[in-house]
Amino acid sequence: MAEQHTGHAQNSIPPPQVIAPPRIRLPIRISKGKVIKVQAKMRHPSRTGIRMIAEHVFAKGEPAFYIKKMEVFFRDALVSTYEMSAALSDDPIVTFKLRASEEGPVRVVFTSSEDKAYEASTMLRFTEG
Amino acid sequence: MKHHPPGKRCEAAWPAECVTRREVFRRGLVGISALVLPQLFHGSVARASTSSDLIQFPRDPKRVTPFERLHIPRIRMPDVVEDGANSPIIVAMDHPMEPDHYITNVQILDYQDPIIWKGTFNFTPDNGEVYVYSQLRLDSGKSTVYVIAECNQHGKWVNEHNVDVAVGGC
Repeated sequence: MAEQHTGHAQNSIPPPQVIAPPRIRLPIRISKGKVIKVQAKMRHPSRTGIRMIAEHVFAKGEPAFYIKKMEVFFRDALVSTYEMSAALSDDPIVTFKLRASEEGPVRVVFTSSEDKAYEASTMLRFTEG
Repeated sequence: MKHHPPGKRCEAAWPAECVTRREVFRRGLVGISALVLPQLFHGSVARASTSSDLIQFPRDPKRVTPFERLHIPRIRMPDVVEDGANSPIIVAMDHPMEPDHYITNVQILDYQDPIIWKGTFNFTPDNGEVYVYSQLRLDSGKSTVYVIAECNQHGKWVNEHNVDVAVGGC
């Protein structure tokens, strides 16, 4: 009988399910009108809901549990959404670009597959003229 | 629509007025195939089954025109990934992000994986540039990651990247 593997890293124990609120990182230097890189990250496990039976053979496993959506708001307007599947890594890190047209709050909302929302917000301020 | 007895030819002046059930079924099948086949298969099969209206490729991959270069997503990811549970990918484009002409979304797919669809990033002109960094789970072995970018004026464009994963992460 084939040895049954569960989860993601086939030969290791799955990491503990740690969930921590998201964080946003903005560049140190921001000038008006420039396009900046924004990084949003969150500690959240990503369980695919399938388990490996043999090489390239999968079966239904533990229930899927992952971040399914990330929404980005700038000055309370929706700028981007990222719809994700379970096939993304644990502790998702997403980097995207944003036009710093005005100063204002940047807010990121992560939604899990269980419809729990986690959000973070930071103030975008110009550091250069 | 006119119906006529079996075995009799349609004598309508305008052919569209006379559509048999068989013709309706055939047209439906072609339409569904054009939409579904690209989702089911990969590689050369997908290329053969997709209409140019659905997903577009550069006409000559060796001589990509400036227009095509604007619309084809650039993929940056390693050719060999040791840990399939954490495969970094960057998708970037030089396409303008203006209110009337911009990239609406970018999709990441891998048909060799048990979970084909990895994610869809939706953009607005407020993003300023098309750029996404994310980390994927990929199954072990050789596979091809497809990125489909959709322009609000010029449709969907695809690029692909071959990757070899040492330890699967699905």
